[in-house]
Amino acid sequence: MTKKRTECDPGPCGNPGICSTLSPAFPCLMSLIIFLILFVLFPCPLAGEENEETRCIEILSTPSNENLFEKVQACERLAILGTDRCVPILSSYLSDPYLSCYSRSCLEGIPGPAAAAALRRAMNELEGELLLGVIHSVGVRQDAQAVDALSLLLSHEDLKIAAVAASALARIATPKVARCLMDAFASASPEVLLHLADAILTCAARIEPREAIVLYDALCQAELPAHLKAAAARGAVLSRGKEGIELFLEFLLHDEPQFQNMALGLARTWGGEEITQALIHAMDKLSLRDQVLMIDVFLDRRDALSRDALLQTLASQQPRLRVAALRGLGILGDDSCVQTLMDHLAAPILPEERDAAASSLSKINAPIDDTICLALPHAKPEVKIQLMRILTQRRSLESVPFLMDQAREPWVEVSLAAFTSLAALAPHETLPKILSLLLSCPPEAMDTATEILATVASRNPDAASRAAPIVVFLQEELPVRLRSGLLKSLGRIGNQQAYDTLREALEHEEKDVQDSALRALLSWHDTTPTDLLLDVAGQTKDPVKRTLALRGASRMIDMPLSKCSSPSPQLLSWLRRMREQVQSPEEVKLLLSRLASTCHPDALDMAASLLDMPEARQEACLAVVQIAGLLTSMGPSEGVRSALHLVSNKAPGTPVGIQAEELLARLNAPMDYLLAWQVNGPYMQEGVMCEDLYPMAFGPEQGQEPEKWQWLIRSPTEEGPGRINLLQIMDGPHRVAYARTWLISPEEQPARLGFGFDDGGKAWLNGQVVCEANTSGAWTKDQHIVDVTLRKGENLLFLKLTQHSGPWEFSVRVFGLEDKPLNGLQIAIMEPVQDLP
Amino acid sequence: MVWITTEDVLDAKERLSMAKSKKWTRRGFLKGAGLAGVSLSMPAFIPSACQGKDSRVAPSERIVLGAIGVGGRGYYDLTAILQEKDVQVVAVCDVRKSMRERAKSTVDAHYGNQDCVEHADFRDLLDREDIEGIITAPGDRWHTPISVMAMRAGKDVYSEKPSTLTIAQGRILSDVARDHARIFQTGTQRRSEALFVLADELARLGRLGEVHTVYAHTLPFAMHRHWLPEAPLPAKEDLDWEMWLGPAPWRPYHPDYLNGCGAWLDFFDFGTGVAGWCSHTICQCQGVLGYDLDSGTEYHYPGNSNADSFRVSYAHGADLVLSVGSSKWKGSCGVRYEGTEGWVSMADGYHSPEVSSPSLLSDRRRLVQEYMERTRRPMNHLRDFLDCMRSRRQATTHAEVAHRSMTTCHAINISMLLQRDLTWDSSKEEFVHDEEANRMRSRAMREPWHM
Repeated sequence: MTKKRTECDPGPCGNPGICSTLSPAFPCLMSLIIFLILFVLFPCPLAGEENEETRCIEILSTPSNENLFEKVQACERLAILGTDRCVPILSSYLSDPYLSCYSRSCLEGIPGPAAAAALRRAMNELEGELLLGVIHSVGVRQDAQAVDALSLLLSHEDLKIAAVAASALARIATPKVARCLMDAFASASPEVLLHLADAILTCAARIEPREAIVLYDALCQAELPAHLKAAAARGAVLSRGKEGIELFLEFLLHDEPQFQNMALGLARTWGGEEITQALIHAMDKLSLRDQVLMIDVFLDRRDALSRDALLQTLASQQPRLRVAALRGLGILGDDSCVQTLMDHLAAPILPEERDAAASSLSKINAPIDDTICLALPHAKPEVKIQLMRILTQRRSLESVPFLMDQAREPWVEVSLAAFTSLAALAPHETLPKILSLLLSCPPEAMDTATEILATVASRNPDAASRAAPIVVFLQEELPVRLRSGLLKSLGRIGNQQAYDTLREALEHEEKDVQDSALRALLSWHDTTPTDLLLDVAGQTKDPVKRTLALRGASRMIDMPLSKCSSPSPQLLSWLRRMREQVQSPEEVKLLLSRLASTCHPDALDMAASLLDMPEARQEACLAVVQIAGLLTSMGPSEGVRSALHLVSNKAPGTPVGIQAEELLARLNAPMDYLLAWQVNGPYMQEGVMCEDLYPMAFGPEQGQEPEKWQWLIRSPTEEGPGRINLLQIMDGPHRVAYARTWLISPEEQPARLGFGFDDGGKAWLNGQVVCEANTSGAWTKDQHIVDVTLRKGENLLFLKLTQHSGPWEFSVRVFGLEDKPLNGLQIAIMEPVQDLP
Repeated sequence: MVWITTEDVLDAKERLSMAKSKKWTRRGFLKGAGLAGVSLSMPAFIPSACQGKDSRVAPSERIVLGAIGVGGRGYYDLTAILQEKDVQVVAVCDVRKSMRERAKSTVDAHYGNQDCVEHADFRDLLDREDIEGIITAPGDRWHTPISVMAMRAGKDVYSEKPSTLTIAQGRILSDVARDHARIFQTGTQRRSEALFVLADELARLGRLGEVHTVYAHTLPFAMHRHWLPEAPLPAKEDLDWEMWLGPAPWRPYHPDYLNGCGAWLDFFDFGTGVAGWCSHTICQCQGVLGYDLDSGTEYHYPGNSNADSFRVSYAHGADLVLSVGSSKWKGSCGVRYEGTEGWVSMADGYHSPEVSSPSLLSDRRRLVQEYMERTRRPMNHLRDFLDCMRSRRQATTHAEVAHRSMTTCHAINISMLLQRDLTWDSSKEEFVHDEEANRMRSRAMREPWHM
């Protein structure tokens, strides 16, 4: 929407654009008629503003102080649209202590001579602070006709008036003003001298440089505070252009700190190679500390000469200077600096120089990798190591073949460094070559070498074939130690081919190989080897091997568990197998730690059965209480009660015993927050934000039963109100999730539901929408309270939850009317069928 | 980084204090040539890492500062700068007695003495020759006048945002900083915060492709002109109302103007419209677009009253769009950069920028590290200011950067007030063919204040 004013010269018709198309041959009467028609159809844009200006003038013309605020408003409008017409009335308020500023706001901006003349007149009529304001406004208008009058004020007895007059003259900034200011400056009293100096500086910055030189030089020679002289010195230098370089250097070398600071700042910003050259020549006149500072200046200048200056500085006898220059080359250097840096890397006088050179080589923004690679074979071992680290930091893929050569080096440290670099850089296609290196690398480097294999293999986008080169290599005749290392790397790769190979290796004739295979399986990334490990634990007679296998199985059992997720039949089966095999207290405690995270009555039974083992009683009590806490969230049960009673009897007065009793009490208490949910999601659509996802219906909302509902259960003993944190099981911004639970009511009864969402939510009770909140923001308790009627029996509460970003959580509280608890409610989560993750 | 030892600095500081204690005398600037080994006596750069974990810099080596305006944000800045080990705060100033007493108490407790001086009039603080720099946060109407007066008095300035009240003020601010060779930093601290810098670098380094649209968070536009009803003035020693108003036009007193910066922010005479947040977010966006030393060209009035969806077009083709709500981010002072190959959003409270693809964040630490090494800037806006005071290098958001980003903010305000599109000529610093808009580039200062 554009409503633009244009310069308007109405002419006879009020609209020049239209007028110009009319032939002058039309009779005047006809012209008048046409004018009237056009005026109605296309009113002059100025007409409205003229009326408004008139209204403002009328307001201002009313007797003073009757309507002060209205007058202020009138001034504010005139500041934008006022013309010469309003100048007289505005001028009358220049002497008003409340309205003078508003009046001047208008007069400063109204174009034309009238406003300027009004302010000049007021200068002759006013005194005190009101005069100060008017003088300032004259300066804002840059009224050249006021120069004489302002010049007279420079010697006013009131220092403030003289100061403002100087400031106003400075804004006008003509050669005549410059002369007036200088004349006044020559004979000024000390009190006004600083203000005049300031004005001269401002004026000088606005006039021609060749005229400004005189002003700046005069200030530099005058008795003034150092900071003003320094400002003048800056002007004196710059107004001379390149001829000011010599002067600039004088200030740089001056003993007055303000001059030096000014020159230092100028050194950073005054462009041109002549300046850089001058700075280079001045270096040796500076102290060591300041030469180091000058290097920082060169880093700001960034020209080729600055880089050359750093290179020259490397010949200095001062180590600090050399180090600073070496570091600087990391920013300014190019490929011409590489050899120099490598020389300092290879033969530093001090360790700091080597480090600085290495740092710079890793940062230089130029194609220098091949130069470094070519230097590798001929460098000393310690230098090779540095160069390889540099290539790694530069992420130099072209260096990989050179690194492989170095991996064969008889120097162990060099070989190790090469393998470390290969771990960071080598593409997966080079894996066969790396494997063949293992046969020729120093034995001391073999462990490191095998450790990198999985890292390199992981770069293969085809996960199923990552282990293939290693499996093939294992078919060779290999030393046991190497074979063991390769098996370990298969454990880290963790695909099917690796698993099959490790399973076979469990049966190898060499015990060391068997152990390596077992250890490799212990660190598997998912639950695939669980049954195998439990088999090993059950079959072996070696207690160490049994414990190892159980430990591995336990670790895998823990993987799909979160303390609030539903355990699958497979998981429960593993736990039962483990229960059968545990013997030592350590193994029992291992099992109990897993049981404690398992929300299932079978887990509770297994934990309770271990209460009689004295060495593990404490852990058993803790596990029982933890499991019971989760099951309690789903409502009371006799199994839970009896287990808690057992703990309470076996550990009376202890913290865990007290916790058991608290849970028992909660079992009898009415429900408040709903703490057990099935959750499904997340759902999203690319590019669609949270608030636009809200109205979209995904699978569960469309009546489609998803493959998997996860459990999210919160123990009632957890601190804080009953917020369910979705980030425990899913994340990502701009997402949707669904949650459901069933309320079992003993009878039809009214109830109140209190919802809290972060971010948004929608709730259905038995298929009816009861709450909608397409919002974004933090959770608060009972953000939305709705009255509902619960049916007798099952009531499905179904939620849709949206996520913008940050926390993602919700809470639902159920209570009776007038915030009284509802008795007899239970919650239920239907037992889903879960596949192993 | 250029490393300089503490001993060098001690020597320099001693000479500086000797120089200051001398009465200034006439010097021939053409003399002094051939002074071998002459040192630059200004305290040189000490990286904070040099000083050790718990070390304090000796008082003689510290940068001496004063604080003007120590209410809300000003108090926060004061407590932040007290954490810098090479700073000595010696004076505080506020028109409200309770504020300056609180500030003095905080400073004295920090140093374990009673040495901090209270001033009711900032001019007394600026008259002190020992003070090398100030941090100032007295409210938008005061930022430029105090900054200009401080720089003319030979002080370096850290001024809270918004640093200017009008476009004309911004030009004066930048010219004075340049002509007086002063260090100035405006308080757009997100330009020195790692996560915001990361988002900026993703855009600058081309990871998002060609950036075509940037979004800047704004508070709803408001520049009220009404007066609150007159209330009895408190005693002058408790609140100097005339001084509080300062260069703003006179209006009767009401306590609600002083209830935090949110109280006066929405008034035309005291606040800066969209610049409440846009002084941050537009400064951020312009830095990304390569317009640190320039402003927007076309201003498209959105036809609403809150400036939501206000669009600014830049000369090279990109657009900046204001957003009042938080649909593109969550939190305050949000920005979003959209390019041909991706986008990034960032706002206060994020642990990580939101990105169109997780791969954009794969080398996040390296990007920020390389930014710091390339620019030699710390991730601390106040620290950057202090470093620049020593090295005389221009600060990250120096006066010209502040002026240009504020110009964009002011142009938006003017467009909203006039309710029409505007075109800005950056080289002439005026609106094209729009006298009314051009008049609004400046306002009269209430006597006796002037710049």
